[in-house]
Amino acid sequence: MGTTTVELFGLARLRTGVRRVELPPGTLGQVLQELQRRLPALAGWCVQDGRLAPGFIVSVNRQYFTQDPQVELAPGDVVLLISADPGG
Amino acid sequence: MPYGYHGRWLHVQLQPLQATEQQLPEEVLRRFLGGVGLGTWLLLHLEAWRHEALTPQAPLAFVFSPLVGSPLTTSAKFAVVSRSPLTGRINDSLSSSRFALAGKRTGYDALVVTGQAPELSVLVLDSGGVRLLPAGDLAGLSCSATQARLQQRLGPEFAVAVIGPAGEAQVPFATISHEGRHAGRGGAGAVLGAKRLKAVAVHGDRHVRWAHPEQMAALAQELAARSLGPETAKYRQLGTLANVSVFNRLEVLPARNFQESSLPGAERLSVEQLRQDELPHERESCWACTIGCEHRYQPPGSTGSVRLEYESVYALGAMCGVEDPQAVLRAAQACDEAGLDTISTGATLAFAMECVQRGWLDEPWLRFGSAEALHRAIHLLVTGHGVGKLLALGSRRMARQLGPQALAIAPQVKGLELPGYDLRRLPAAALGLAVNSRGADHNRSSTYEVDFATDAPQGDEQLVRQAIAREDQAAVMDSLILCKFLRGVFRDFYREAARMLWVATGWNLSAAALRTTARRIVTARRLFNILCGWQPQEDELPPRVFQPAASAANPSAHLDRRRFERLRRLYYHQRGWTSEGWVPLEQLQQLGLDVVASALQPE
Repeated sequence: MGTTTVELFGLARLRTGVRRVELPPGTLGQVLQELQRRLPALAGWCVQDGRLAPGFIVSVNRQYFTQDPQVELAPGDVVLLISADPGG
Repeated sequence: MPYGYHGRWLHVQLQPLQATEQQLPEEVLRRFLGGVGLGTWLLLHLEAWRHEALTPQAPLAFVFSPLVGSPLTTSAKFAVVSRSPLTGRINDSLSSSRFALAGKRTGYDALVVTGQAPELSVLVLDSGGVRLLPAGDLAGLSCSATQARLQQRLGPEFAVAVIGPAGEAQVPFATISHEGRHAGRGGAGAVLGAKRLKAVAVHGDRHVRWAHPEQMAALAQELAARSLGPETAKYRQLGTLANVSVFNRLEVLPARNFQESSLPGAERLSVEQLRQDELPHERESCWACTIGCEHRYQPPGSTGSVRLEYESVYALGAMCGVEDPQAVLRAAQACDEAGLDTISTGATLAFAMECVQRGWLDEPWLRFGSAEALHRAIHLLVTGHGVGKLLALGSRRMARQLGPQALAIAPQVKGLELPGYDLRRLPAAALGLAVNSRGADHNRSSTYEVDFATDAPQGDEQLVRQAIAREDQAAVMDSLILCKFLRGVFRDFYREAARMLWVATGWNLSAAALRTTARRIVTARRLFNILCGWQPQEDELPPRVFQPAASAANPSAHLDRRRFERLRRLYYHQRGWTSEGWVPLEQLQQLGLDVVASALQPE
């Protein structure tokens, strides 16, 4: 069975020292729960109990942005965990 | 006199030196607020469209706002408004900190300068009135050296806005600098330089009264607390530089003059890498700001540090194909010291590099990826030597000299160089930059927010509606003036903005009335452009964004030309404009802009 890839950016990457994690597919909520279990340094400020903390969104396959924990992720999907504010 | 304002502006004519106090009717203040809105009204009132930007008669306005001097977070801001020497259209740049506070304390809501000093001078405004000080000894000095010299000469109580060598040379994308921050885009520094002013120094002790000071203190405290929430975390913790790695991965980081939408070595320029490399770093904030988005890095071998923003790294790094962070830091520092807009500088150099690549420009050293070329080109641009004279025109005028094929790859709208959002994948941003009165400017439109939203618009009509909503909100924020990085903090922007105005001015404005104000300001800016000679073909994008990037992972990722035209038509329709983007007279009348409507009548 394939995996879903989560890529980390910004503080999430700096605080965990991890750029990319392969996780079992499922809903976004399930993937985030597993992400928090593997990388506890993200707990609270970035992900919490299968949800994204305010200020964060994910890009799914660079096609759309979501915060919805019910979104189904398939094997091979790539999720970018990024700030919700794209201002520059 | 209304609370929050002085109710007057000062018109300074430089030769012979004369200062005339003018009243600002409360009705005007209610309709245009301050900042960008009031600045636009001043340009219309002074019929600034009749004068080219660099002529002595052209007005240059420093405009404050009703919230300047209040404890509301991020409110210490000012706008510099004039006709742009780069675009020939309206230009309104924002900057912040002490100049806003000291400027408003002179007792005026705006300071407008016309004319030309007899020699390079400093315009001083304080309780003794206005005077010109000779500034021959400051000629050619950098922004920071000029600032330091003047603070020493005038005293620390003065706030000083200065130009660098680029402004003196009237480079059309020169900035006005204040304590290291810049009114950056569109060439306000060249306008000041054309008036032979090296600087404007202000000091005063006239305070405005607040309508509801206790409620203002409470509101300020509450807003400050909210400003430290997750919505601004990116800016506080990492700064705008956090965009580099994300945009690169999303393939919306324009590179090599928009030939690419990502850069293989962009990670080297990312904030994650800079932090990992432990480059010396410090964080600062503007006056009266609780966010503190400024992250400064120190180039090796340098005593000073450089404020590094995403847009500078995009333009001087990715656009020029330069992946060495030290080289980009030094280039950003050179631009800051010369008083150059980093976006227009980097994008113009990237355009020149592609012209060399294609054999349209015979400067073989000027090639993508060369840090040495980047630094040499900036030096030539400022000094005007060699190819620098051509580079100093900006990409559109330079392209016109090189031929029509060059114009097709110039990264600009209305002559203003594009910011760091690859429009191939961002249709709302593309629309916003095309129709914006200032040209390719992300700050006045903010429509890119629609492209990054989790509640994606259902269809193009909704996309346009959301884009207009972002543009309208930006018009009010830029007139109040508040930092855009606060926008995520507001739960109901217009209601909260009305409350801020109530505590400051006592006006009991409804959210609906403020929405009309937003429309009025957006429309007034377009009206000014129309009076300057705007034509429908100016609301256009570079052809390149309608083609895939050279190495895009997904070759279908480009903006569909017909869709863009549909979005533009919908935009005009939803704005109530004609199908070509003209503003009907009836709408001008409805918005109270008909005082200049007669100028629109065909002769």
